[in-house]
Amino acid sequence: MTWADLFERASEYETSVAAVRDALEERRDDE
Amino acid sequence: MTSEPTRIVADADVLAADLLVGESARAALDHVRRHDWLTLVASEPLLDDAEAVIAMLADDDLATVWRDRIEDDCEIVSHPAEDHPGLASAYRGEAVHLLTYDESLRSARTGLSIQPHADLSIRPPDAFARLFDPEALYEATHDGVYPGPDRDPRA
Repeated sequence: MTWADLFERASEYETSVAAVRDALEERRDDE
Repeated sequence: MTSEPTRIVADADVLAADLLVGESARAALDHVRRHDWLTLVASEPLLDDAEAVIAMLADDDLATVWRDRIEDDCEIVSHPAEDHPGLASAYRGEAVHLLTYDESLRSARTGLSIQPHADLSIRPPDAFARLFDPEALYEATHDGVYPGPDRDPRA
């Protein structure tokens, strides 16, 4: 899949850098 | 260990933000996607983290197809499971650049299970996107004049 296609698919979701940071911290804290 | 200025690690937050948010993460990684002579380095644990974040914030199918693609675009290195995936990928992958949104990683070089090597530049993606100079780096690491971008970053 091209990056253009991936970005198009990902554009269906609205998120933020803060949400990404929180999700990563949650995952790494759980490990 | 010799680090290479053409080798770059993006921590899992930057990889996931590249896909899901865009903005500075995508601008930073577009530098890598545009240039065949730059190498994105990652470990399986680092990609596992990013894939999990994408699955949490989007869906499992998108996370899977992203993983398939990023593995084609990365050089995979291994490191002990207890090491920080971003720092360890940079250390083991002999990278000079580590892109992360984690301010604690950028400011606190103590208390980490693995110490960044002295040459490692730990930056947020907006700083990397703004300051990265492909022409200067190409001419410092190759013979000849910078030919310009040699890949489509959306291919």
